[in-house]
Amino acid sequence: MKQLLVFFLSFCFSYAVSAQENNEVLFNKGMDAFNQKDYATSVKIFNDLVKIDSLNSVLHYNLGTAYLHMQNTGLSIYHLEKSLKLQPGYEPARINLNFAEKLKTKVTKGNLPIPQQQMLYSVFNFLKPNSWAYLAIGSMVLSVLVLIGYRFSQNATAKKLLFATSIFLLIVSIGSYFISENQSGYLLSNHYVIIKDTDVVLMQEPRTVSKITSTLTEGDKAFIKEETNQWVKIQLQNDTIGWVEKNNVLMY
Amino acid sequence: MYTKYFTYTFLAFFTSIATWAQFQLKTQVSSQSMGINQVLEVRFVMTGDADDFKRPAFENFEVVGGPMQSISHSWVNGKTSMEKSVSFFVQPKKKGTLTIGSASVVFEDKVYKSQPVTIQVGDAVQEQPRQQQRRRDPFSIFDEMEEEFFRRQRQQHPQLPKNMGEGIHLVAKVSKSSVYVNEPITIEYGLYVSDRAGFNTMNVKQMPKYENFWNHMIEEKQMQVTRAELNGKSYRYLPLQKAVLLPQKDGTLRIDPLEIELEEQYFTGNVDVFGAPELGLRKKTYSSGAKTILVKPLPLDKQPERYTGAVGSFNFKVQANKTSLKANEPLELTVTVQGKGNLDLLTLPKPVAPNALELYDPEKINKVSKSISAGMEGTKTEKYVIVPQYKGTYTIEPLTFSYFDTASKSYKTITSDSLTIEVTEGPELPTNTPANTKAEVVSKQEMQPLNGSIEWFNGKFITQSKSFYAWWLAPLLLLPIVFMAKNVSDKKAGDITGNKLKTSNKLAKKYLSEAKKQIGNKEAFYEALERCLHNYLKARLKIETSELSNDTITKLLSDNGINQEDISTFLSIKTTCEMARYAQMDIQTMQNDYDLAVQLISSIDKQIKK
Repeated sequence: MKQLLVFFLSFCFSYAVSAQENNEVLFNKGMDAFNQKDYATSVKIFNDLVKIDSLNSVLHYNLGTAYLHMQNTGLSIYHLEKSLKLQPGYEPARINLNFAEKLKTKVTKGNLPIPQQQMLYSVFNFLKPNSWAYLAIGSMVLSVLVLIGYRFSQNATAKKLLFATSIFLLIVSIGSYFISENQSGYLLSNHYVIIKDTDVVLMQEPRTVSKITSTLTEGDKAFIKEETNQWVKIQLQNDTIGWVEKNNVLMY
Repeated sequence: MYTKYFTYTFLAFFTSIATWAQFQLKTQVSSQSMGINQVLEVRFVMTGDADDFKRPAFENFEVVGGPMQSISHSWVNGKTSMEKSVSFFVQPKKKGTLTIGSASVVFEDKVYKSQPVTIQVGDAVQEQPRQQQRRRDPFSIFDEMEEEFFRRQRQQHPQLPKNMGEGIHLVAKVSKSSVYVNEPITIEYGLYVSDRAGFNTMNVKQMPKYENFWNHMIEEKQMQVTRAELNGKSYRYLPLQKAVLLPQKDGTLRIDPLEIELEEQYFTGNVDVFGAPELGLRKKTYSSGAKTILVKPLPLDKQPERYTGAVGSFNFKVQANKTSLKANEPLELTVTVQGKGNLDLLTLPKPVAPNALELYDPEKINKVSKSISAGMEGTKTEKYVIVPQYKGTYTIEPLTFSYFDTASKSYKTITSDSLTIEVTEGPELPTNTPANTKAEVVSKQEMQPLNGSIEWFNGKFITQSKSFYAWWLAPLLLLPIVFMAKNVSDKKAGDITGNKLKTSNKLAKKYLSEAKKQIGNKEAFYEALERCLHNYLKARLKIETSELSNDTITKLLSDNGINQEDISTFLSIKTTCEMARYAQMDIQTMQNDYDLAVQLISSIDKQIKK
């Protein structure tokens, strides 16, 4: 029985490792293709990798940059924006995004609203969401240990100190948990859209037969206000509000 | 024999009565008897719109004119009647009694035949010409000499054409009678003049208007007479008008006829003094006849998205004169459509350039030639000037041009290659957020390469899984377990120090609370302390006496098994209390004495219990 368990565990572990290695090989292939200016292959490989590891800012950055070299406005802006969302303040992504925005056929001016979660995210981004979760577990364990120490201690001063420490650790643990929740929740929810195609129409109502508010160009960015199964209500940079069909946009 | 004739007559009469009301086909001739040189007009008149007219054979006649159709409607007292007639001009070939056979028509699925007519043809008669003869100027000797010369010439060919003046045809030729909307067709009006005919002047009575057509006249510098064949005969041909037409709507469109009046020459039949036949002039109107064109609409179901109405067969090209240049240098982008079709009416697709390239309005160059053979042919070009403003690599999206191919009857789309323009030198593009100075600094940098170092995340957030909550909250479950275990073990161990502390505190609270309040107030404190100790003894040892001397206390305590040490402590505290009334005491001493009293009480209490 024990042998079987050991075997099973080692199998799982080796499988995970081999998957990781496989990804590493693919990643290097993508890098090589990019360096040999075979952007189409590079895009294909990074696209596969992004499907496996969808919240990796490096992969999104690489994919967006490859799209940029292929002059694909919409997708390049989308992936670079996504990379910046995952890792705010990632300079190369910001630079390349500026280049990608040059490809747009129309200049759009104006600012979009910033979701609250985003500010919290950038404040606490010095640790990854999972690190915050581990911190929550660790500080909870410590807090309990310190509380036990308090129970066993005889000295009144030591008791006071240990009790205070325990309460502090408990607060840290609960705080880290909520931070981790915020970080992952922010990354998993969509706040903006990038228009995928040219000549996408913005409707006044979420119906195919509706008054057309305006026509959008590829690469336009907009803020999500509301979402249904097929439609999404967006606010443009010029504060126009309307509905677009979901399959015409990329959400992040 | 008679009965048979009678029957025929009766039957003929009967049928004629029967058909009178509905339909009649009659043969009318201009005269029953005529000379051999004369022309006879034969009219077949019917009283309804009959089809499938079959003319008689005219065996002994030669048809010199016609068939000419005329239709007349009349409304009398609310009744409509209609008359349709077909007329021929015929000339007899021989003398004698000649018969014109019967013509037949089909009216309401019935065949009607006309009565045969007999004509008496006699010797040639002299006919007065209707037009005046050419006036002769008695003084123009040269004219006469010229005419004389011509007559001589004619006399060398004694075989005179019999029907001079017959043989002018006005014909409209249309290149196609069934076309698509916007497909160019050509129409050519021409006059065929046989060698036996001639005319002096021409007068256009009615010009076609080409309604529902976009028309373009083909101008000819010079009208040239050529030879052409019509119905197997050779004619002189004079083109009158040529036009390229583009039908603008679908359906059956009618092109109005061209009508001209000719002053034509004909032989009067007379012979002048020199023996040459005389020429007369008469006016006659010719019509080309209306033409109908069947125009088919373009199929809508497979129409490409950006179809701009081109019909024909085309080539499409987009070219830039350079692909690598400096900022602010002009670049020429030419969009060209070349081919056959409605070049005048089509619109070229407009290139879309990134906003960093300034695109100016195009210069339009049309080289379209219209001809009868090809319709409309040539090139249509739009030249755009592009001035890049900033450094970088830009792509001009591929342009698509769609047209309806009339040969394959389908839409065709040509997509040009996308053009990449490299601007090697020039200022950098300002970013969208000029307020952000950081971004501007960044934009001066090169495009960033890929990031080679990857940290795999393989993405699941552990807070998303239930096991996280188990790990996170499990330590809290540990707490009550540990605390309870500790309490149990404490009870088992008896916990001396802990219990002692607890009881002494209780006792002190019970008996010494009064004293504690007075700490710092020397006299009151010691009085209270002494009273408290007395009260304690009274309570614990159940002593009734109010006065307690040192000896009594010692005795009582030792009786209760209290050890000597505690007894002496008790006594020393009692002495201190009495002394304190006269001595100086500070707070520290009071606190010490209080603590001592607490310890003492708890110690005594324990011993009493045993």
